[in-house]
Amino acid sequence: MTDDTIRRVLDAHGKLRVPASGLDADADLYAAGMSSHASVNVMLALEDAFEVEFPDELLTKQTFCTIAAISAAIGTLAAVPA
Amino acid sequence: MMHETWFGEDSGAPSLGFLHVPDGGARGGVVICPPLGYEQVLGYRGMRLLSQELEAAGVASLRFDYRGEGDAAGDTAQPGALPGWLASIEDAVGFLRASGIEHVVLAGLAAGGLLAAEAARRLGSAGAPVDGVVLWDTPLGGRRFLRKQRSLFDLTVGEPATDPERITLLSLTLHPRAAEDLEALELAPLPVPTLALVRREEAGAPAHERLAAGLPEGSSFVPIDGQAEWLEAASALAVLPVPAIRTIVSWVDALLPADPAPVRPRLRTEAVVAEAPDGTPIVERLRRVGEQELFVIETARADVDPDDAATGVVVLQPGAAEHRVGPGRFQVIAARELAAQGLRAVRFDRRVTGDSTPVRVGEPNLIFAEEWTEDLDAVVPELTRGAPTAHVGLCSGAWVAARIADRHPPRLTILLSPTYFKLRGLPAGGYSELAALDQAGRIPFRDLKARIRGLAPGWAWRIGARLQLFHDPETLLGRASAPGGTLALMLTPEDSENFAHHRGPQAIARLRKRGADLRVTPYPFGDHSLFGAQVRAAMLRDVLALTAELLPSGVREPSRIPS
Repeated sequence: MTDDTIRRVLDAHGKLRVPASGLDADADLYAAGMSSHASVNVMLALEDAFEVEFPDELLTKQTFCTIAAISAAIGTLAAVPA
Repeated sequence: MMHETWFGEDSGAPSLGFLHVPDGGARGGVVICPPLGYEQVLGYRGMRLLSQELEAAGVASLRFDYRGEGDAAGDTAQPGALPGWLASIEDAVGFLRASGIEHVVLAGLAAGGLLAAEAARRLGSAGAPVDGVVLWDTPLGGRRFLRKQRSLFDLTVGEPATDPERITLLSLTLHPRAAEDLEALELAPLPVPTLALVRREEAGAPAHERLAAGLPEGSSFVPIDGQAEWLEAASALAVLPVPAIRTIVSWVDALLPADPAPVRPRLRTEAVVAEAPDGTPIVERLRRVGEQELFVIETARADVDPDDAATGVVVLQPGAAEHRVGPGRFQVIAARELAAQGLRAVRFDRRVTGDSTPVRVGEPNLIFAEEWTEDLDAVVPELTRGAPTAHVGLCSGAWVAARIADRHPPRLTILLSPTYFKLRGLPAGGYSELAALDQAGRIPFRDLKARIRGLAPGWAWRIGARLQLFHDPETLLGRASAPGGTLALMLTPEDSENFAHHRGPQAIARLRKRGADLRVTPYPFGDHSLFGAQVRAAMLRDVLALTAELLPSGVREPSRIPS
């Protein structure tokens, strides 16, 4: 469920060159076309979707470089209603 | 017609403004409140296009810098930054009204909309309400804006904070108190007609629906497209949002009265923008130079003769297709510091940047193009007037500075974050095409060229470089390091890596053997564009040290402005 929501957010805000549904969980999102600006929009949309707030220590490129990394980061945060 | 002018001296800090006035008078005027941070850089030419289109519709406009930003006097990283920005807007409104423009609209882009809304409320409370407000892609509140900016800085630059009194963002440095003030701003309906332009994908959000429902009579809520392609792109790839600009012009056109009134502005081309430590005023003069009428700002202490050919002159150039805001503010700060040293400093907008040439929709940018060397070639004699000269350029500005050095041999050339080492420039728009291919992962022959570069023996590599197949630091830097001159390179880690990739260190060694005075400073920290405060401060310190060593000052006791 979490991965599906992440992929939906990536399709809406990630500016990827391919649909997120076609990407492996370990695929490099930056190599797939996500810019720094897009990653911030993804982060903000994820915060809205999961009702969480990424702490400063998670605001790194590594946190948003793959679907698996995003999922792991969200898993460490509080409520995950989606 | 466009006029550049200082204004706002009476309230304590002059701002630089660009006033657009239609022939035959104006039906009203629009104060265009720019965004904060890097959106101000990306949005700049679009705001100028808005001014041009308003002028064609018979409406005057004033574009300006907030206190402490762009070319305005002051430093943004102060506790009272927010009241200062609001005072700048009130000064701009006062300037239009003093010029004979009775009907005034505030148009704020991105975070500038939050400031425009707050200024409109204050002006209304003070009995001087504006006629309308345009909220153009404005965030719903300061907290969300700052969170986005902080995240963007962390994800792109990632420099750890070293000063608890300064919050560094992309092209914006805030005091924590000012950040608190900004976070407290929230967008709410205003009591004057309002045009709210909202990104289509955000227009259905409950908070935007509440905003739309609360707008007074005469207002419009319009979903728009193209903001991300303009304000979230690399500067070389930003696309102007022409439909949104025309929506604003139509709305303002319908709001203002039909009959024009005469406009009589009090234009000021000279202002005191700072003080040297001994109290001597530092003065900036606005000029137009050369066939292209390039926009120039000259900076000097009031006691330095601007025509004295014995006083050193420093010509500053920004990176990318940028000008005097954002990372380009490095030039503004450097110019005032250099003036305190007793030198003259000049900064100017190259074609298709800033305020030199009008905006034409679809115009190609000229990053690494020959046109910018022609610009510098044309203005150097008039700007330097035979004085000992230094050229200081960042990235694309560094390439132009290096290219010009054999035509106008300077005493000193300083290349900040140089990346492009070919003699031959790119065609107009060529850099954007490469950037687009790079973004799409489709640069032709990149891997093949990298393999050849890595394997080729030195002699073969040098032949390839001379043929411009590869970057060629030896030829470019050799031309820029003529006898009697000094060439300095200041390199961030990624620039050092790129320089080594192009066999720059070997080129330096060969040029030194031939007697060139070459100084290379690699920094163990920092980002290429100088968004990071630490690298910006370090490069400024080193630039000032070199100019103090190698250029003659016009005063006996040069000094630094206390930071």
